[in-house]
Amino acid sequence: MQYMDLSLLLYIGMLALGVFVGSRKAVRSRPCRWLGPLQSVALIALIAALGVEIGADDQVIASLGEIGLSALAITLFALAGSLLAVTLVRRLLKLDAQGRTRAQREAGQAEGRDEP
Amino acid sequence: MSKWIVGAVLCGIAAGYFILPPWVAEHCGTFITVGLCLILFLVGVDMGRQGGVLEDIKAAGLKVLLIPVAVAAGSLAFAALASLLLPLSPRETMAAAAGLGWYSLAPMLLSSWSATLSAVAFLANVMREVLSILLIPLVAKRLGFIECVALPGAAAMDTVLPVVVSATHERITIYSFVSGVILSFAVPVLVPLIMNW
Repeated sequence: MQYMDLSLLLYIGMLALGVFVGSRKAVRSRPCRWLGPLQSVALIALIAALGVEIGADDQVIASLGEIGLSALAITLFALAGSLLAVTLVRRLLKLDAQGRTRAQREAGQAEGRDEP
Repeated sequence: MSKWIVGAVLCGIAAGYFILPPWVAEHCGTFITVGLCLILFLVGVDMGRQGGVLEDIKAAGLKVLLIPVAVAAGSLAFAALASLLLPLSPRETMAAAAGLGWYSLAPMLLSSWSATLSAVAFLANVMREVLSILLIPLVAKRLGFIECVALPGAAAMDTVLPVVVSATHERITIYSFVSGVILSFAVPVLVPLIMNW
């Protein structure tokens, strides 16, 4: 459990450190085009490593059929639940289907009328 | 990117099962921790470069904070319902769903409990990203723009953000970004919280 707490702090710390470094003027003023590709390469390496760990685990492979269905069911339920909750909150906040407040909607219509 | 990710998972699993000797798999844990630190740092740099996260939240008002709360609550409540159909406890299905689409973190957090649950969480969250990319255009048309932010969960701030914005409107960027950031910070809190309940 202690390991879990430490790694949690480590992950949040790395994210916060990144935000700190990224918000420096010297970093922000540079284009840093390599940032996206490096992130993608690191992500794919990480995902491949996770795959290796899962593939090397006999217990996981033996129950993959069952796992696949469970994962799919959890995902479909989670997607449906979050859609339902967010659509309720959107209506509660009186935002329209396009995510506009009444003021934004009226401003948009006024703009539309002003167009030649 | 999703294609590459699915390819990487499948190749990794195949390599781990057929080719690689067991000692390689034993060192994967360390590699994953280091890789995750690197990615989190790079994501942070991206967020820092894009400009003040806090200012963005202020500009959109406090209302915007309700969206990620709804995403997390809806995901967890319905995931608990999914346990009725599955050989898993509500705690396990909720823990897997608490990955909120962050498929590289959720399985890491669950690996100390069980390899099987870790794998379920991984697959479920990979599926969440892939399915959200497929469903966003449909949800934008049929249900609403803000609802699109709900689908990718934590990925609404990075990989799926351009998909959300292209299917909706630029004004949704702030909702997507804020929701994704808050959910990303929620994942390492929610998963252990659910498992220690």
